[in-house]
Parts: sequence; structure tokens; C-alpha cells
Amino acid sequence: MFIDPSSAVAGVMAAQYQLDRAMEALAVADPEPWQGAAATAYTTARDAARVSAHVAEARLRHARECVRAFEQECSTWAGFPGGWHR
Amino acid sequence: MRNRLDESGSTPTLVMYSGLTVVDLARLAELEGILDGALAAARGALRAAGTARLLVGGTCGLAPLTAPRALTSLDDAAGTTLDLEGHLEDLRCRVVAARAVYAEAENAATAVVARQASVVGRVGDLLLGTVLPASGAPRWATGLLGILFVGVNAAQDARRGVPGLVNVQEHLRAGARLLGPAVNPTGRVLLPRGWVPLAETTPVEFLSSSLLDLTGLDHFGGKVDVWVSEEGGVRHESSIRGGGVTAHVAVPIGAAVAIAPLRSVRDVLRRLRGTAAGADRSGVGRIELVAQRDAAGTTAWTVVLPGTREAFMAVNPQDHLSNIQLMGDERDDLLLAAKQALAMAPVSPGDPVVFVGHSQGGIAAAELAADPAVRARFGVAGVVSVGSPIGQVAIPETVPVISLENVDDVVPALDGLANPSAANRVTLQFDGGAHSAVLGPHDLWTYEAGYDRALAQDAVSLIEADSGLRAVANWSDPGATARVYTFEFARTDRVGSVLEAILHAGYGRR
Repeated sequence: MFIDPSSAVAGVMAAQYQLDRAMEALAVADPEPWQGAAATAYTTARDAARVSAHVAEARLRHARECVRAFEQECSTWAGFPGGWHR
Repeated sequence: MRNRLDESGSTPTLVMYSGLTVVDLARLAELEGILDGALAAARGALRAAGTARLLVGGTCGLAPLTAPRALTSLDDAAGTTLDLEGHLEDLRCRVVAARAVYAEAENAATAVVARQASVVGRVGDLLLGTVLPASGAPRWATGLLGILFVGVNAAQDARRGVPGLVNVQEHLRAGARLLGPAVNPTGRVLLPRGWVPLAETTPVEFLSSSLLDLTGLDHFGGKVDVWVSEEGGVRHESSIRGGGVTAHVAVPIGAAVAIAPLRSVRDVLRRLRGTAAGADRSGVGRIELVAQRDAAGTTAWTVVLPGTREAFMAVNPQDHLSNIQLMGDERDDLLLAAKQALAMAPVSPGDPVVFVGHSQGGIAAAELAADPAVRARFGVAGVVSVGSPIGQVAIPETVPVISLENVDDVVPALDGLANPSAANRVTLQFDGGAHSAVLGPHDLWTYEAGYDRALAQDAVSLIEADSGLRAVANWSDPGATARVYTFEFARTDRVGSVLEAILHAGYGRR
């Protein structure tokens, strides 16, 4: 079966897009009129989620660069000068 | 076995008026939706990263220099996205739990506020409790004025949006407290267990039994035939003429019909609808006993008791006379027939028995579960009352009870009492909303929708009680099989019962 490695970059970009949506949702997930100990615990948990989201975002950005390098190597290596995706 | 009026401890365990608490719960529901969206997005990111990992892994031989680094970076990204998913799950759980707790607390508070007497009510109480008695006004004048105040107060409460259930509960109790002594000045009633003074009864109970005593209708009944309705028209009869459950005719196992096993309260509500329709078709009383056998061979019984089918003194004892007799703690034909059906069915000692009833059936269910004779013989394991006034029935604390009450439905308010607050009792009060408007507040479909909604809204107490009931009744066993015994019953000598009533009309005439 023929697999096009350039789809891997598209996959990482899709993951980045989804992660952006998750971060947008987290940005507005404030407790607002909800107050008290439970709301404080919620705020702490939400901040931890935001940190996770930022780390995930950085790692996906890095993964995208790595996968792009992989794609370039595929397109120039092993007798495929035209590249897989052309 | 009745509860005495206890105004201090009458707060329902779980109250959910969805229409009256908006701000916090709506915001929390919105937050839950936002987190659901974030969770779905995080899962999407995880899937997309997984797909990329698969593609790179499948073609890594084509780029041996960069493939290992690409794979490692994708694994790292997937790992942190998985962490994010865990955090979001945790957040969502916190919001769901908080919403359930706030819903219980805030709505219970709303119910307490709604129960506070209005200004008219307070003036009325002052007049009736202090001014008029001190002025030497006759009892009838005090009663008449009191009823007038109760009526005005109820109308005023209805105008300011107090739910029908709370409004009727409060004012029926007040009205019965005034009317009872006016109807029965002796201050005591003659019940099957003997003379009972006013102070040891609830206002509605005293009024109901006084009216029955006065008219002799407490003696209407006791002549009922009970039989199993078997396919092919075969009847297995067992007379209980004379008012006592006599030696019974055991029902052959073959009289039962195999049915799909019960899985939930919803399934039993559906059987209640079918049983009620069957009673309407046949014109006689009908209840069902469902024997559900689990994979280990243990049988649990579910007794299905539909609501009122007839008007008054009908052939079918599921009528309004039975309602008044049940509320007055008097002997009645419905309970006699139900006990006889239990005696006839092949229930082994210790088999768990769960009683489920709608409206009148719910009162009968509670009375059966509270009856020491029934509990001595059968393993009473639970009660589900649907739109039934059972606040006056003292059900032992060993028996779990789920009571469903639509705040638009006045029928569960006819006891004039809130259900007692106890560890074994969960009372779900819900706002029937559109279902009430379209189908009617007392309809079984409305109750089914309210129950489903409460479960979906993570009403913790209800979910725990529901789960316990399903386990004890074998409803949660996926390998269970079920058979149903359909019992029919009819009053056989109504003319004789009327004569009995006439002969015994007047207070305290046995």
C-alpha cells in the first residue's frame, strides 16, 4: 500500500488546530459567579490544564518541524527526486 | 403504622426545581459545555497526532536520518496531549459534581422559602389561633373563617408562583386541621387498630377517617374475590369474604407469563401503564407480580400497583373510596386484594419484594411495606412511589424508598405533609415543565421524563438509591429472566357493603 509521508504534516497541523480549540475553550472556562472552596479548587485544576495545553502546544510545534524535516528527507532521498507528494 | 405530623423535620432529602434556580446552575451548565468542547478538541488532537505517528512509522525506512527524531517528538506531543485530556476530565468532573451539589442545596433553600407563610397567612393564624378563641366565637364560625383564610392564602400563593405541590400541601393541611374538629367534635376516631385521639393523627388522616366514620363507609368493603388472570380465561379463585385473608389457593407456576426482564424504574413505569390499561379494559382491579430470577437462581419480586381507575364504590376497588380509606388508615379492599395476591403467589420466605405504585398504587405500596404482617412474611426490599401522597406512612428505616413528585402535580400533596427526611428515603421533586403542560402533571410519561432527567443531571442521592434498588430487585442482572403473574380482583357484594355502611353510620359504631 502506498503511504504519502506528507500526510503526516497535515496530521500534526490538524492536531494543532484541535489543540487551539481546546485552549480557546479553556481561556473562557472561568468560574465567574461561582465562589468558595470548590471554585478555588476548580481554578487550580483549570490552571494546571492550561499549563498542560501550553506544553502540548510547544511539543506539537516541535513535532511539526521534525515531521517536516522527515518529509523533506523522504522527498529527496532514495531516488525520489520529485518528492512523494508531487 | 403512621407518621405523626412533624413540621420541624419535614424537609425533602432532594429537591430539584429546575425552573426557579437560574444563575449559578445555568453558568455551571455552560461551563460544563465549554469543558466538553475542550475535551472533544483534545481527543481530536490526540487522534490526529496518532495518525501522524502511524504515517511516519509506516514510512520511516524512507528517511532514516530524520524519522527517529520525528517519531520521538510525536510521542512527546501525544503524551502531553494525553495529560491535557486527563486534566480536562478532572475539571469536568468537578463542575458536574458541583452542579449536583448546588442544585440540591439551592433548590432545597428555594423550597423552604416557598413554604414560608404569606402575610395573609400570618394574620389568619393570629386571628384563628388567638383572637377568635379569646373572643368566645363559636367553633363553626372559627372554622368557616379559617377555611376562608386558607382559600385566600392559597390563591395568593398560586399567584406569586408557589408550586402547586407545595401550595396544596400547606393549605390542605391547614384546611384539614380546621375542618377535622368541626366534622368530628369528639376529638378521636375509631380505626381498625382502636380509638385514636386527634393528636396522634395527621390533619388529613383525622378528617378522612372522621368522614368515613360518620358515613359508615369505613365498613364498606371486605368482600373481594382475587384470581389470577391466565391466558385462556382460567381463573384460580381465592375468596377473602369477611374481611380477612384466608387460607389461600396457591397459584400454579404455569399461570405466569414470560416477559422481557425489568432493567430499570422506567421499565416498571411501562408495566404500570400496561396494568392500568388492562384494568380499564376488564373493568376489574388488576396488579402484577413480576418474578425476576437472576443467573444464580435467586428470585426477586416486583409488585406493580397502578393508580385510581374508577370513581366511587365501583366493582374495581382501585377507586376513590379506597383512596379516602387509605388516607384515613382504614381497612380497604385494595390492600386486602394485594395481600391476598402476595399470599397466593409462589413467593418464598426471604425473597426480596419491591413495591412500585403510581398515585393510589404508591400509597398501597407504602402501606404494604409498612405493614408488620407483610414484613414478617416477605423480604420487603424497597418502595417506589410515583406521584403518591405517602408522607403519613411510617415506612421502617430498613426499607429504601424512592418517591417521585412533580411540583406541578397536586396529588402527592394530598397527605398535607412533606415526606419525612430519613437516610432510607429519597424524594425527588422535579419541575415537569413542558411534559406537565402537554401530557398532564400526574401522567406517568411526565414522571418517566422527570426521573430520566434527574438521573442524567447526576442527582447523586437518586442515582445511589436507584442503583441499590436495581441490584436488590435483580433488575441489574444481565442474565436475569422474568415471569409475570397478573392478579385480578373485584368487589363481589356491593349491596351488602352499602347496608353495612348504613348500619354503621355515626361516630364509633363498630
